[in-house]
Amino acid sequence: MSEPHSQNPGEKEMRTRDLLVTPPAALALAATTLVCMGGLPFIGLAGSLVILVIGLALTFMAISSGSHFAAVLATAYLMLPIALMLESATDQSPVGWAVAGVFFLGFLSCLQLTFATRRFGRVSDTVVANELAGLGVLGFASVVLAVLVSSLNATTLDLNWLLVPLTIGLLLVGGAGLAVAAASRTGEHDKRRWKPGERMIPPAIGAEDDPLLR
Amino acid sequence: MSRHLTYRFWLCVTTASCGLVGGVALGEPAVLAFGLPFLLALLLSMAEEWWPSVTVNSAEPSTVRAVEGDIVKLVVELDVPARTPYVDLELQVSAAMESTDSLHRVTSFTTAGRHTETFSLRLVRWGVARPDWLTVVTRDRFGMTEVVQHVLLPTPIRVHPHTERLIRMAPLARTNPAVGDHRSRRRGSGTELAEVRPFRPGDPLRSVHPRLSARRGMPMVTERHVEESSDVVIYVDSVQDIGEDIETTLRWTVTASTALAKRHLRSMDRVGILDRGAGVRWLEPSLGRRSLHTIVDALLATTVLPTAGRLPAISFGAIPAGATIFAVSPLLSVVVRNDLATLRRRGHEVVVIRPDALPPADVSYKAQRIFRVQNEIKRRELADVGIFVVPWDPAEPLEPAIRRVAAGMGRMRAGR
Repeated sequence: MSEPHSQNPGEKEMRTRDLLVTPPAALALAATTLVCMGGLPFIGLAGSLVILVIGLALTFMAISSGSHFAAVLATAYLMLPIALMLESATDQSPVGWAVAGVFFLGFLSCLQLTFATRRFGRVSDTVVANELAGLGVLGFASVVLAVLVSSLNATTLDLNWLLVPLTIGLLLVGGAGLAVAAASRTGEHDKRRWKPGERMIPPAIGAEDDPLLR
Repeated sequence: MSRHLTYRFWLCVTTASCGLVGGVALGEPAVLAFGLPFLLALLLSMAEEWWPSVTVNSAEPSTVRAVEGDIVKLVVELDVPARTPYVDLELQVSAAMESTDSLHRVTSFTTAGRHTETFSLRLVRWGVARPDWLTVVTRDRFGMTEVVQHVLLPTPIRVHPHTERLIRMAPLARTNPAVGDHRSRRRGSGTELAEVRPFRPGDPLRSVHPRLSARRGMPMVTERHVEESSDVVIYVDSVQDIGEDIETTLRWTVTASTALAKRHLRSMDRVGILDRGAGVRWLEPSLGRRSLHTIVDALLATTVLPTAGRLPAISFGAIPAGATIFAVSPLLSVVVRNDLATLRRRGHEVVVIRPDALPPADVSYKAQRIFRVQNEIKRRELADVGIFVVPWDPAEPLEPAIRRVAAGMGRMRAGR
């Protein structure tokens, strides 16, 4: 679901060209280029270029449309060259996959920041710092756990006593979330539904506007 | 206010579940490792806080009255109960205002307490302007949950068009006995000299002019005009609004009506408003400073309402007998012309000030000529029923137009 580049009629519509040169958008495009060209040693120039063109197109679509679905699609697509690189690597350590997961979330955050700069949005530095701090914590903890999983996997210990309850717990959290979402969901034709950037109906003229209505 | 689980929550739950299930079932630590960041993001966000929210304590403009082109600040006070890592504020404003920097900002609050955010707005068009809505979206650090609030901003800002202070008034045909600034035909205790004549029995002794009487050798008295007030109804044509950008017929109408209302109220006239559009807005003639505020606010709230079909005829029974009607209208609508003719037939003195901007230079000579001929036909139609129409170029001050009214009405009355 795309959102407009301007919510207010007084504002000129923000051009996609201007949106693409904002720092998060430029970073997202650069990251896409780097990741897509990362498969160059394994699949050759032609294959890498095809991956790059599709990757850039998906990232561009995500940035210009402001759609979360397009953002997830573009990010998921980048997992293809990453998977190719990881599978082609010699050691095939789980740490690489954990880093790929963090990259997934980081790239998604980057795209989400491009959404925040839409409609002439001004993003404060503290928000960027918060995102980076969150990703840092996430990255560190993931790598530590991945190393732990990797080392435990090398032993003969049975880890199912930990993983199975964790999986069941996670599924329960998902089920609870589903219940919350179902309970709070508004109908398709409900006027209260709101999309970012959507212009809402202004309040009707009342007595505070027109003294003749008093 | 509504709470949502975002797409990130579902993404993390799905990917983490798939990673765990896949890792256990396939015995692949790589699959498990890929799901780990998603699992951790979910757990960390739950541990920190879900659905952080802020409360909009107030959102008030720095001024509630301004002139076109002014810049006002909208100060939004937010009560932040706890550290909030992501707050998205977006302001929706009416077409009468625009932002000087940004109407959309994303910030975070690292401390609890009261925080303020200031939006700077330029008022570009006259009328009642307001920032309509403030949308506040708050998310947790990992963006799993969000709270969306739409806050209605109730305080209107009245944006005045540039108006002028009139000096001259049109002479009114009928006056009331109440004291005012209009010279009456009646003689009495006024300030303006009417006549000097010999003393007649019954004249008050204090009206005898001593020096003149001494010079003439007989008692002479001076008579003066009584200064009286009148009822004035300003007929506002809001049937249509034609023009480009802010230079529109309705703006000129409101500008002239405001100047007229101020001038006549200054002269102790009772002033009322009859706003003719898709409906009718009627303000009875009244007097005083409070009345001026009501009139100006009512004029600023004038809008063109969409209509379907023909506009209904209205009755003018509420207009006081003898009230002078000042219509400010481009005379484009037949309904308005019919209304004015009806008012004239009811015995009211009707004067029309027609805001009449010259067509742009790129308009063909033939079109300009048709425009002039049409205007002349309308003027003659109204003149036939005794209505005086004076054109006014809105690029020029209103004062000369009022002077032309004053001069022209005298001639018109003499010709009747």
